[in-house]
Amino acid sequence: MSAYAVGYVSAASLCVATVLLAVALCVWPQSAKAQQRPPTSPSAEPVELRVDLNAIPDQRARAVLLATMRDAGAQGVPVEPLYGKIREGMAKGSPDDRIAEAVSQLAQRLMSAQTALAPARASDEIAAGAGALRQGVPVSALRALRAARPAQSLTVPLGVLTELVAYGVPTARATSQVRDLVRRGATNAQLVELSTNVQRDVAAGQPGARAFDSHAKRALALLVAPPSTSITAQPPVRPF
Amino acid sequence: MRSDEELMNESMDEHDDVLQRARAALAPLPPANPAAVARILAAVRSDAGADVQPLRLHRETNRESHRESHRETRGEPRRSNRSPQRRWFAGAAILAAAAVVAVVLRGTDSTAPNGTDSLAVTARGDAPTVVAVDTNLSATGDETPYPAVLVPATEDASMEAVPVFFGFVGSARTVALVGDFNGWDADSMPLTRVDGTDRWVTSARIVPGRHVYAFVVDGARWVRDPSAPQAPDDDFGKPGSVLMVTPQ
Repeated sequence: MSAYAVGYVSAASLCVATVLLAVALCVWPQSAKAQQRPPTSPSAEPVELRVDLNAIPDQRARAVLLATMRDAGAQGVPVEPLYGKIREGMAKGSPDDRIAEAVSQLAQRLMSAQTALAPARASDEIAAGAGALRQGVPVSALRALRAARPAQSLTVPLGVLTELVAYGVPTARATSQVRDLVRRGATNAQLVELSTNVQRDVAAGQPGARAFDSHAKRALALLVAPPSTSITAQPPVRPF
Repeated sequence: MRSDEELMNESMDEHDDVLQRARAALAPLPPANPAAVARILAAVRSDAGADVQPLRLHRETNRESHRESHRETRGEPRRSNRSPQRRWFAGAAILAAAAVVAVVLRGTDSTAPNGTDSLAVTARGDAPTVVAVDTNLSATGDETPYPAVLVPATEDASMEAVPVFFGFVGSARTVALVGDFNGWDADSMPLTRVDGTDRWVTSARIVPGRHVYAFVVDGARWVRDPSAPQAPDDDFGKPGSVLMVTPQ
């Protein structure tokens, strides 16, 4: 190849084309390899949650459990947490009627949580909502969190809210602040950090509400205010 | 009655809050107004007069246009058609150069068996690192679950399962981990005894969020982790412990 031939095509276009082709050659095999990777599952250790209800000797309790599971399935409520509750009761050696009662109550909470968190279908998220209801968080708080984060999972925020209430933070205050954090785009890691900090202070003897106020204020200060109340409501304009 | 220092700290926090909001609000400037840009360009053109040429945005380079203008000045015809053979030579040169650059950039990745991919697989391997174990705990014979330790993972999706290490110290024949993450199944996550000690260990991949767990010792005894908060939502009288799994 003569130097004239190369020089005829401009040096700039030669460089650009070379770089683009090199990048394409580098990226293409890796992207193809990435497409061949199996999708990652949320849990690397899937657990078989089915329970042989024949292991429940009490016929009445077994009938209640069967009816509860059937109703839950018919209403689209995730049954994995119900199976888990049965297993928990059996593992703890609880009486059959106590297991049936606990499962029935859990099913009701799951239904309420599913309605409040609609259109959520993930078992983890609905179970987290049921856990929050068990702790005394009102259904309206679940709806408020769903409105604040409509497209993302609320599993972590609901778990954090549950723990905050368990640490002694007043439910209304905890709900309001967690909702505000979620609206401002707090990450799940930031929410868990808040919960961990409050738990540490409570373990050190500080009242839960006081510890929460301090840490929540710091967390909120790091986040942008939601559009409806922030100074970004009026977008900046260029001076011409 | 709060002290002056507390009030001052609170005031500074408020200022910080305002500063953070202002910074976040001013950082993303809006795109330029097209009408304003057009006005400015029109004004520049009118000032420069008709001699100003539009910028060349096509493939012809400045050097080549300069060469062509010289040819036109000397009365030579404009060379509008390039030789197809020469263009093929140029294309081949581009391809060869690209291949050389690609080989250099990929380096050992495509040739060495222990290249970047292997290292990456090791880094995000499923087996958690045991350096997270609290080795200060002594094997006293007392049943002492030691704290669940989050092992760093490289998955960056906020709801991906995270490897978590669990340990238990105490004399026992069997120890099993149970929790809502394994359906309270005492058979699914047995702990393994560290040879010659009363230490038992296991690990599990758990999705971020709040979880309740406990240990089942010798298939019957329910032992909760005293170093973790006690779960208040117990339905059966044997409370477990709460684990907040942090997303990575």
